[in-house]
Amino acid sequence: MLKKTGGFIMSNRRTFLRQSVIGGGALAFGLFPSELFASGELVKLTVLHTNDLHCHLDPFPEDHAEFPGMGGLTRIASMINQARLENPNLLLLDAGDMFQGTPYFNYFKGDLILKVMSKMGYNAGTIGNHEFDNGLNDILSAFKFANFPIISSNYDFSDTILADQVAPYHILKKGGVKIGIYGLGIELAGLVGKLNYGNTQYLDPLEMALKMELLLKKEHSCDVVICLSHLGYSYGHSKISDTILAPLTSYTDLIAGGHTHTFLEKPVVLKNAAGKPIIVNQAGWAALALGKIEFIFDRSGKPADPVVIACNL
Amino acid sequence: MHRLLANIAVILFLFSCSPQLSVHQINTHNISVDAFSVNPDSAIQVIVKPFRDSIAYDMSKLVAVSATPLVKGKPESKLTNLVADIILEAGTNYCISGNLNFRPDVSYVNYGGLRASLPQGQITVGHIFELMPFENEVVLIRISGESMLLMTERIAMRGGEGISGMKLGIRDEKVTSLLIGGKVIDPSASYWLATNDYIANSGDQMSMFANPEDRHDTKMKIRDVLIQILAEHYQRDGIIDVKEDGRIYNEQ
Repeated sequence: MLKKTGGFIMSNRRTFLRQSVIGGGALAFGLFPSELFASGELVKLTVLHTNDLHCHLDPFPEDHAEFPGMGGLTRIASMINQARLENPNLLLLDAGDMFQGTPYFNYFKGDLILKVMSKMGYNAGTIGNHEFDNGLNDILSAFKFANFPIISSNYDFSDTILADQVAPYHILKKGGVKIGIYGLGIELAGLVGKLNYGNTQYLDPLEMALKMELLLKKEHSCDVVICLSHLGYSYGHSKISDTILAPLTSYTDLIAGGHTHTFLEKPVVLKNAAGKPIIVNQAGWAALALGKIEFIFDRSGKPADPVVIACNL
Repeated sequence: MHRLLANIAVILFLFSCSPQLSVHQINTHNISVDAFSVNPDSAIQVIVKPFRDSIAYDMSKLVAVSATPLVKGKPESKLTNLVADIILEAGTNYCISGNLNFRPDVSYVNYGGLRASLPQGQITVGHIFELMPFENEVVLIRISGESMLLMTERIAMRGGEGISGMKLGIRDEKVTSLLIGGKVIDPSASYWLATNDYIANSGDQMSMFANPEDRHDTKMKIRDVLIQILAEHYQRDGIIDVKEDGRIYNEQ
């Protein structure tokens, strides 16, 4: 049984010990000793991501059939605080469908969830199909409560009241690392009522992804490129999804996805068009899980042997 | 269950002449938000509490008591049957109170629109909100028998959804038999369908509803009629005991 106090690492002694073991093993493989972090040669960027929060601020009730007492954004907030203490170079991202799913939404629309996400220090989010549930007017009024950018590269809102409210990409710096973020949304026709999305134009997500990653990597010289996607993890057919998109990209390092409410046993590593690794991940839904990706950069630019360590905890 | 599920470290190197930093190692984890591991953040609780308190009273109100858990499933299920029956009843009530000269023949509830199960025992307003969080409303449309067949073909392709007022046989994702009000469907006749506005507006690939012969927007929220009609049934007949009745069946 886990202790009731503390953050997500220290509260789980077994996990903490295993991570220490991995650290030791990594040293044996000639990886990075902690002195390199201290000397500033290495810099670590922690990316934490959620998706399909669906206004689940609180844990599921104790009598819930599937997830008794589990989840809750108020608890993720504690985990984020703990993670920030461990590494202040932290990005907190969301892959859409923040709205709809609990009475918090029915009573307070998207205002409350965005107020809470802003207080938690989210750095960026993207737009899911359920953001449209009460139409563009309610998106506009809810976005007033967001102090972080909402990014979509393939919804063109220029002919709607959301023109200038949504950025096609966003660039920020953490600990000297330049991060470029773009966002992809799912096709709206057939999924969202036409009245609810109005004159929003859906642009091809693959085309926009390739355009954005090139722009961010080459023109803006971002060190790491992240895609916030609400396309869905996989459909078992040709419909565009994160796992179809990933191998077609060249400069995207991480696709933090949503929509399909997928719990992944472990984040998936695929090869991009250049044969380099790209991480595809999704963190379930309803604040039941938190994705965590750590990028470690070497300022010296020294090449290292590629080693993959996979470990199920 | 969904604890710290995995940890991969990927070491990679990128030869680069640019001043850009290169990624040398990636560690990935998925972390479960477990009931016992983390307490809610107090600063966030301060924001949420007044909102939570203001809706807690409404959510705790009793609607009905159910003899069994009501869970959705295919081809039919207690939950899909119950909701479809209530939509049909709500549509009928609307026609009666409005002195309209027709009654809905059938109802259709899209499977994906039911967002949670209902528990055995006490069903509260909060449970109904979880089941039906959307603000969708009951809509009545008059469509041809042909459109009705297209709809049921779509339902068959999906292995079954929520229906009432009809009996549907399925084999290999195709319709083998369709009775409406106990009679074989007449493709040239017209039928009244009760459903929600999302579906009536051709949502969920239901493009056959694009040009109905007639349409009434009742302005009754699905969630409100679920609460109201379930409560009426419970007060009138006691504990709710929903049955599967073979309205959608797989033919061998």
